[in-house]
Order: sequence, then C-alpha cells, then structure tokens
Amino acid sequence: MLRDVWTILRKDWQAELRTQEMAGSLLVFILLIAFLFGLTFPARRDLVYFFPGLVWTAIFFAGMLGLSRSFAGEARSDCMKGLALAPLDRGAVFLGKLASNLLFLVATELVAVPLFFALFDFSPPGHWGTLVAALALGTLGFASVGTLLAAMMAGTKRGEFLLPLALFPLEMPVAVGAVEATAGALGVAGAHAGHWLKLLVAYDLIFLVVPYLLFDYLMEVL
Amino acid sequence: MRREWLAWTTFLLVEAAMALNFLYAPNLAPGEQVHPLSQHLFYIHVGAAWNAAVAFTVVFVASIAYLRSRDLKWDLWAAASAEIGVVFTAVTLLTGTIWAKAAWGVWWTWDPKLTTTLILWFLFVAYLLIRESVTSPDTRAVYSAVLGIVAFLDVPVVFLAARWWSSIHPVVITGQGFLMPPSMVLTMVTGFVAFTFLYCYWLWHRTALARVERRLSELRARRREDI
Amino acid sequence: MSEHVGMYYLFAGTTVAWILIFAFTQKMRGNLRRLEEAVRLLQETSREP
Repeated sequence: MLRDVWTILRKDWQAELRTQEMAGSLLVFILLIAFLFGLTFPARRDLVYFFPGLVWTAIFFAGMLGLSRSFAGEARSDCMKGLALAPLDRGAVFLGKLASNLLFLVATELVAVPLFFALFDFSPPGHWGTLVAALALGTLGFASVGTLLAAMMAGTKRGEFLLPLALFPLEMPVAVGAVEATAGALGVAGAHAGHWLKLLVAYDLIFLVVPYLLFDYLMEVL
Repeated sequence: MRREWLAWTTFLLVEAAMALNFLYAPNLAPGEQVHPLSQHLFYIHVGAAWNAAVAFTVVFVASIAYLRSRDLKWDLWAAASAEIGVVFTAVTLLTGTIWAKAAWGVWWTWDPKLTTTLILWFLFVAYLLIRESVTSPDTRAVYSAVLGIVAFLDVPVVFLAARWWSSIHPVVITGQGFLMPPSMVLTMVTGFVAFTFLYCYWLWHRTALARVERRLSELRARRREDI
Repeated sequence: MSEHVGMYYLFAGTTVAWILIFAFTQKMRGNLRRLEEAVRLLQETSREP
C-alpha cells in the first residue's frame, strides 16, 4: 500500500522534474501575488489582523492553479485508464496523487510564507509551532478535497473554471479555521488557535476518509 | 389520477398557508419591534429553509443509492431535488436578507445559519453547473453522486465553523417547545406542510421530465447508429 | 386599520402570483404528458426487429 503511494508520488515528481511544467510558472505567480498584496495593502500597524487572510488567500489561489494541473497530464494522454488498470488499490492512487499535491503545496508555502513575512516586514512575537501546525493542517484539508475534485474536473469541459466554484465553498471551514489558527499563532487577541486547530483536525479526518472511499467509484468513469 | 390529486392538494395548501399568513397570523411577534410586514416573510422563510434541507438530504440519499445500485433513476432524483433545493435556498436567502434589514438594520450578518445557507447555495449551484458540463450520463451520474455526498457531509462542519463566531439569529424552536403564540404556530406548521407538498409536486414533475429527456437522448443515439 | 387593508392587498397579490405559477406549472405538465406520449410512440416504432 505505502509502496504504491510512493510509486505514484515518484512518478509525478519525476514528470515534474523533467518537464518543469509547474514549478517555474508557480514561483512567478506567488511572487506576483505577494507584490500585488504588498502594493494594495500597505504595511500598517494593524497589519496582523489581515495578514493571515492574505497569506492563505495566496496559498489557496496558487494551490488552485496547481490542483487544476495535477490531473491535466493524466487526462491528456489518457493515463487515468492506465492507472485504473494498474494492479494497485484505487485508494492508493488517491493517496499517491494527494501526496504529490501536498508536496507541491508545501514547496509553494516554503517560498510564499517567508516571502510574505519579509515583504510586509512583519515579525510578531508568535508561536512558531502553532503556525506550522496551522499551515500543515490547513494544507492537508485543502489538498484532500482538492485532489478529489481535481480528478473529476480534469475530464470535463470548463474544468479549470468549475474547480474553484465547487472547491471554495467546500473549503470554507478550512479557510476560516486556517486563518483563525494562524491569527492565534501570530498572537492576535481573541483568536484561539487551539479551538481552530481541533476543527481543522476534524475536517482533515472526515475529508481524508470520504474522498478515499469515493475515489474508487470515480476511477471507474475517469 | 394520482398526479391531479397531488397538484390540487398542493394548490389548496399553499393558498391556505398564505391566507393564514396574511389574514390570521399576528403582525408582530411577541416581544419584537419589527416592521409589521416583515413578520409575514418569516413563514415563507422557514418553510423554504426546511424544504431546502429536505431537498439536499434527498440528494445525499439518492447519491448513495446511485453508487450502490448504478441505477440512473437515482441520479435523476438527485438532480431534480438539487434543482428544487437551489430554488428554495434562494428564497430562504432572499426573504432572510429582507427580514434582517428590517429587524437588525443590516442586509447581511455572518451568523452561522446565514453563512451555512449561503455556502449550501454555492455548493449546489456548482453541483448543477458541473452536471451540465459532463455529457456522458454514467460519468455525470458518478460525478454528481460524489459531489452530492461530499457537499452534504461538508454542511455540519461549515455550520460548526461559522458558529464559532457570534450567533445573533433568533432561536425559535428550543427544547421547551415553540416560543410562539398558537396562531403563529398554526400558520408556521401549515407553511411547512404546504411547502413540503410543493416540493413533492415539483420533484415529481422534474423527475418525469428528466425521464423523458433520457429516453429521448437514447432514441437519438439509436437513430444515429442506424444512420 | 390601514395595516389590515394592506394585508388584504398582499394576500390578493400573492394569490394572483401563486395562481399564475400553478397554472403555468400545470400547463407545462400537459406539455410533458404529450411529450411522454410522443416518446413512447417513437420508441415503439423504432424498435429493432
């Protein structure tokens, strides 16, 4: 099982390393968003109140772009049939794709988050452990539902357009939870990081198990 | 014949509900100082909200039934119910915002029930748009079923998330029973029943149409093969 | 008093709206029934030998 997941993950990353389809354009996109926010939200003393929202908006937009491409290669060359016929558990295919999307989102965040802190010249007395937990749990919740929907949208017309339409409402608890937990980690008064981290854990658990089960059915028609 | 019975019962029930609403129910809820007209929106609001909930539960159940049985009949039920659910949710949101303006002085607050309803509306509009963009019936049915299940399971989490902000929505139904005089209760219950009949009537109608559409596309496909 | 008259107007207005909605739905239902009939006939005539 774990080896199957690893196989899928390695396949995706080898493809990415060879073509460098995503990395370059995404890096530029993140830089662009950061500068756009830097220009439109000038650094102020009460920045801490909307800083978490800005960071997560950037992550969601970049993640959306990445997700909508994550199955494009498979759809283009009809690889989904190959994956469906491969002697793998179909849940492992889901977990593999999820792992590769996660890895890719984490790479994005490793660039984006320090960039935001630097650009806004922002150094609050924060709990860094809580911040990392919020980032990790929020990313996992975003990626698990995102992987399921991206697999569906890859096969439809207007898929790139429909993906955010379905994904953003579904991710509302993640958006709220991640932003509030981040705010708590950065020491915003009234934000209870612990509360929201629990919500994120619950969301992640539900939406790890449900897509894992439903992916079986989805693979039949992809 | 059964169809006629359902149609006319629905007609009379909705008419009765409106008569009670406008002519019988009090203009002001006890202890509330709201514009008298806005109180009458309340009965439409709760009736529509209740049936939106019913409609999306039907989508959920039909989606599971489809994945278990692979019978396209269930897909048609889910799709029809989702369409009606979106209409009822829109009515809920519209009456709710007007009422909120009159009662709270603002069009919109980030109250958990409001937020959840809005998210629900977005989710099922996306559901319908995605249905439209898939052409193969089997693929469309699986996509819709998966979406219907995920969307339904998302709702309690959305509500919980929204609830951890402050809640100012009036609590009408509590453990102690209704906090309303009998005339309001009667009007509200009639509204519930009437809207439920309306839902059944539309659902039945919409599934019949969907069945004909499906048969027609099958015929067309067969004809293309012949040529 | 004027409030009550207003309520009568509202009731009359919504009744008219509802009758229109209902009549339209019933008319669509008539169309639907004819469509069902037509599709049934088509299906019968195009049955494979």
